[in-house]
Amino acid sequence: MSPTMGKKARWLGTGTSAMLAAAMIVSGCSSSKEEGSSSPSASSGASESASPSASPSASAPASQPADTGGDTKDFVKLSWYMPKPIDNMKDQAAVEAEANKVIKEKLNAELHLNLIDNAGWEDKMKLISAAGEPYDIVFSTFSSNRISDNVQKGAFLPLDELLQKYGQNILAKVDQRAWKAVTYKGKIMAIPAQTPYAPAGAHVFKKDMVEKYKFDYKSVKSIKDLEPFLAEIKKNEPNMIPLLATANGTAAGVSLYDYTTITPGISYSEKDGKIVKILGVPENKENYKTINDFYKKGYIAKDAAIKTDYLAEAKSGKYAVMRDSGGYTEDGSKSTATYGFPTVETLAGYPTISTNSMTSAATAISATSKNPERAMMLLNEIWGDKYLLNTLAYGVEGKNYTVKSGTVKDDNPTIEATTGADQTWAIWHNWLGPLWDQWDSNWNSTAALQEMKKNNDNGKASGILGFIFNPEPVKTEIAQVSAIQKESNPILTTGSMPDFESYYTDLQKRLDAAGMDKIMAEAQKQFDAWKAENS
Amino acid sequence: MNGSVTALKRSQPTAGKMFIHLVFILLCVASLFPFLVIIGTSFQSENDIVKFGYSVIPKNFTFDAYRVILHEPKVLFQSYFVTIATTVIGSLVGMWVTTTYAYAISRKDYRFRSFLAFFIFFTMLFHGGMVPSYILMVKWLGLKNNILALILPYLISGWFVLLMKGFLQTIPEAVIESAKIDGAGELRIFAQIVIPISKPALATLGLFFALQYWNDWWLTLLYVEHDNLMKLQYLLIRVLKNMEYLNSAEAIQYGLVKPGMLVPSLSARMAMCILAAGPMLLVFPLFQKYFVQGLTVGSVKG
Repeated sequence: MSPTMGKKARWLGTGTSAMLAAAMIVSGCSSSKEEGSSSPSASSGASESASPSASPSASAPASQPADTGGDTKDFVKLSWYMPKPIDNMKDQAAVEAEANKVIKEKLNAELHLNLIDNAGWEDKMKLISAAGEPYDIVFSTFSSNRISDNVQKGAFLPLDELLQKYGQNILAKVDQRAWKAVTYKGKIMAIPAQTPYAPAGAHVFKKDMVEKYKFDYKSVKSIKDLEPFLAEIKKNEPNMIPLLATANGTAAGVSLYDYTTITPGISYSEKDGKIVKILGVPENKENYKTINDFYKKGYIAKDAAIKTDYLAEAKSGKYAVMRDSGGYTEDGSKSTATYGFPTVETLAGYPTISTNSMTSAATAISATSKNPERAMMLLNEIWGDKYLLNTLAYGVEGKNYTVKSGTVKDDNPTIEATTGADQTWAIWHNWLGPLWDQWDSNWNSTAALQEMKKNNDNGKASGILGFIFNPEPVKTEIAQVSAIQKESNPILTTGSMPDFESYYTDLQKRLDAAGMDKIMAEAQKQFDAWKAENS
Repeated sequence: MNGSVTALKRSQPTAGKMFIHLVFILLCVASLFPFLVIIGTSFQSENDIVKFGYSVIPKNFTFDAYRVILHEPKVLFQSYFVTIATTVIGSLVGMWVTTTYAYAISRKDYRFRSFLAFFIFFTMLFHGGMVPSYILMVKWLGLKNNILALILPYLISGWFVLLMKGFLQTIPEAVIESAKIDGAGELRIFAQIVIPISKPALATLGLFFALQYWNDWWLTLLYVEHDNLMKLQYLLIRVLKNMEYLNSAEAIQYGLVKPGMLVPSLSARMAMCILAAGPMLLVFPLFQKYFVQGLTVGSVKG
């Protein structure tokens, strides 16, 4: 488990090329960046007006599936804007060439990916749409290159018609509930990708400690059940801190799973369908009180409220009880891998599926697109053709991955993708769309994907799916409230206040003074309006 | 008289003198200390930072942070080159444009003086904003991924022009008039009289320009997608973003980072700080006397 120093250093050598490996992507193709969308053939306008159901064009090969039966007579170039998680997406030209073989044959089109680094993604997309630059497809989520902002600006094209005409594969595969999350004023504005919608929360225990003190970790149902174990650690392990809490992360089970956040401080109660102030929920107060109790008993580090890096703290191995970081595995394999030492986990709960969790990755077609039909056809192809999807996800065979068993032709291989920071094509796989169609690999096994899908299918969708709060009318109040929250959250999550009752009630008063009621009234108003519109 | 008094005082250290020296020594240490912490931390391992916090003398000496950053030195040098090139070219051309404009509107006998002065002043009150300038640069001038995009937008600014004009106006008209009587043309007056007189102001202006160009990352963000045209400051932002990502749970899941491994993000930040500031630290002491002269003379005169 623990790599030797030499190994570590070598890994750093190769691995961290990730950080600076920028220049190597310089490839001839990037100079034609704008051409993709700005130089559509002059007659492309014609294809727009031409009835799509009119004969599939003669130039389209026979293999063309019926559902892409639009007019593909004119060759067009499509551009797709996406952020790159990390700056060493090598071999872009080769991957595009491989994918374009399929795209050219089926759609008589060519795709160019405009990969923008994370540092500039947000600003660049804003400018590109503000300047009305033509492009076709774009990645969008509830938080980055926000769907709602783009819809408001009119930057995206409504997709209903296009989906009906050319998007049968997409309609068949997207979770039906997810369409609600991307529907604005009755129009579908983006295509939600397949992602884990409601990653479970879990208590994570350091395995050697659990074994040493024979603690029945599976019996933990609420954070109060942790107490005997924490007390034992505190008593017998002077070098350990029983429970990990930081300014931005607290024990699993503190956050309430039955409440869906509308705007910070205001939540929707899934149980009774009411909008409430989250601090006013008795259960919530009880949880924070318990944390404060733990803090006073010394189970939490004295300086926890000024620690900000949860993951780094967890990896240090000083803590006996932690929280998971995204997803839960029964055998603790995920947290073991994340933290780097043996752990065991027990489930804390599943959050309800919210609008946000369903739009953590989505794809939209730009209003400036010159070939929206072809763009939709391309997306449909990606949702339908596993080889195309996996080429975009994993890269080129032999170069970016090797086949271990099966063949790529029968669409059911097991492959070994180049891992490490040398190769990161597979990293963004879940942004392309049909994640469950991904080949079995060392990055994402089919079994794991099926598990994720099962979780999604069984997950309980929030009662306010599709409702998006518009903070504009109460902007000042929200700014004031979030200023107070910024200061109080680290204290709440770590329990580091001397007198809980007075702090808690005082905090509630301060928040109310900052305009909490006004925000709540606005949320209620918008919610009522939304409800009237959607029932 | 005055000189002899100070000489006398210097020869006999009094308690007051000692106190003043002490204060300055402490000040000196206080301003050096953060820098020492940066250097110290850049040699610390990430785990030690989590465990023991920042320190001047690292417990376990490691070059990890530098290895991370210098692994691809080509990119770093390329961005150094771009930054230096844009700084030098931008500063020189910017000074030229600014000075000539300022000189024209500083001459009281110039016919379009007030119009041009208002023209530049207007840009200080109202400006088009980000989107129009983006459209101008990208659509009209077609300068995306062009080194000119990193130079042009900062070449002239109302503030600098008015600053320069303020200085140039202090040149007595009589000087120019007498030069004219002696038979000098406008160009000759500008090159041989005005420029030499305004050296201190030019030094100040040059410093402003150089700082602006050296520290700029915004233009790279807006107009550059090619990796070989990145400026140093933008590269650093990118490296930071990447490291944030590498330290996320996602990166472990995707096998970018070995389990339990911490990418040296804090120490690398410090190392980057040294690499980015390093050249300036070396250059600054050499030029500092000119800067100081330029700034003080400028302020005394202007």
